[in-house]
Amino acid sequence: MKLFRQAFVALTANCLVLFFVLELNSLISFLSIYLTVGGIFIVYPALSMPARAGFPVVLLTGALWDAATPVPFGLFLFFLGALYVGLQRIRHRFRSRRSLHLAFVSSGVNLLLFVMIGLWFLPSVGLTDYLLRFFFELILSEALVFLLSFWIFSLQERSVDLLGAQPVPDEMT
Amino acid sequence: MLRFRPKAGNPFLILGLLFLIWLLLPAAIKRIGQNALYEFQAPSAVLASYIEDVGAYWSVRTRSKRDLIETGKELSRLNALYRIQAGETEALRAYNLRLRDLLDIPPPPGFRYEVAQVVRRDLSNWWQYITIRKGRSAGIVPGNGVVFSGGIVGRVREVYAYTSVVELISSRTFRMAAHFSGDTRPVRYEGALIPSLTNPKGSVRDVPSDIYASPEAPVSLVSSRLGGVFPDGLLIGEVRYLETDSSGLFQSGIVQLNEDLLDLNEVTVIVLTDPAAQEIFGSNR
Repeated sequence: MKLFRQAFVALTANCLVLFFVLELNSLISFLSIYLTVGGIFIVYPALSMPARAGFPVVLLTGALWDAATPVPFGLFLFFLGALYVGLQRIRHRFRSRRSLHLAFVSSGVNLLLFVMIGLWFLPSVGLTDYLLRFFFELILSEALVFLLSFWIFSLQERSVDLLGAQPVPDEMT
Repeated sequence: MLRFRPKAGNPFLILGLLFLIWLLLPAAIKRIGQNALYEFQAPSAVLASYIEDVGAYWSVRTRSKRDLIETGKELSRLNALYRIQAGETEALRAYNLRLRDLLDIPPPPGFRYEVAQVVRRDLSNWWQYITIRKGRSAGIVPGNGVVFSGGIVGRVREVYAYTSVVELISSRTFRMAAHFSGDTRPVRYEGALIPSLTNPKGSVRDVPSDIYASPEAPVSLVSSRLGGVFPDGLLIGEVRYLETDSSGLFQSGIVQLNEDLLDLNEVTVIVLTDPAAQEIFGSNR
């Protein structure tokens, strides 16, 4: 039950972020700017939850993101899954759980995700226009991920505390 | 401090197994899963759209009566002008039908127009799609054309119960038959990459070498009925410059699309009324 509560909190927070970012992108579409914040979906489940709860949360978030965007179904599911297992593998190196450190980790993971998506959709013509927009949106997305991290991780920590589902070190395997 | 665990490789194994299962999974099951997840999250976008409508209603309520009366007067002038134009169009349509009867030409497929609110705009460097608030329940099928007051919007790509996803003409993968205004020879229109903070654009290819365009005298690119999706003559965009392509026989150029394309709130779906055409359309997509 504790795992379920942790997963519920993480999944709800991810869905909230996904919804807000999709609406934000819709609002600023007239500027031809599109922000990607997928890195945020992975960090809390990878660093603060056991794999039995975190992995399904990340995969389900990826599947929801796939369904909400016009990409081949399964693309973001496996991109997020791959980044999750990588981050989970090295999470023992991230001892600190301070917001600033988590924000940097989120930005790093989002950068990797952005590059993966960029390579997947790399065009055969018009590379200059593509790269100009790619780097411009990358900078804006990284800034948004950094700022959003402070709020979303705090929200998840507080929610897990309220539900009495804070994981103990023995569970983090 | 967390210790290194020998089971740290398990998540990679699980991901690898999942990927293998995913590759072997039948497409029908993936499709069902995708539709189920789409319909699960679709109400959130539709709800946001309704909330936006309510917000727009209350913002209009705060305007003064004088403003509303002036806007009403302007709209009634526009209505009067459109009624006159509609009358002329009806007369032209009747004349067209008489000529078709005399020359024994089969009638073109009939259309009806389904107005839909735009729920969400997904306009990225990788795709250019919008979601509208009408779906299967309104008779929309994949492949139906979508237009707005400024011309062509795009083509319906996916249809769900109450929403549809439309691919914009600014999408890199969008193609359609077109011709220049005043010229009947077909050309090919394609969507193009759009840099940030710029207006949407596309490209036109296979343009005959005798057509000339300049910034002072741009030529209008309009839809052709050859594709069977759009009526003839709907505006796509303007071409201000043409250059000879690598073959030396034809020209190509950039098409400046309407900037309102990136900020659409309401569109119209062109739904075929001919049952045979609907069946062909549905089966081909």
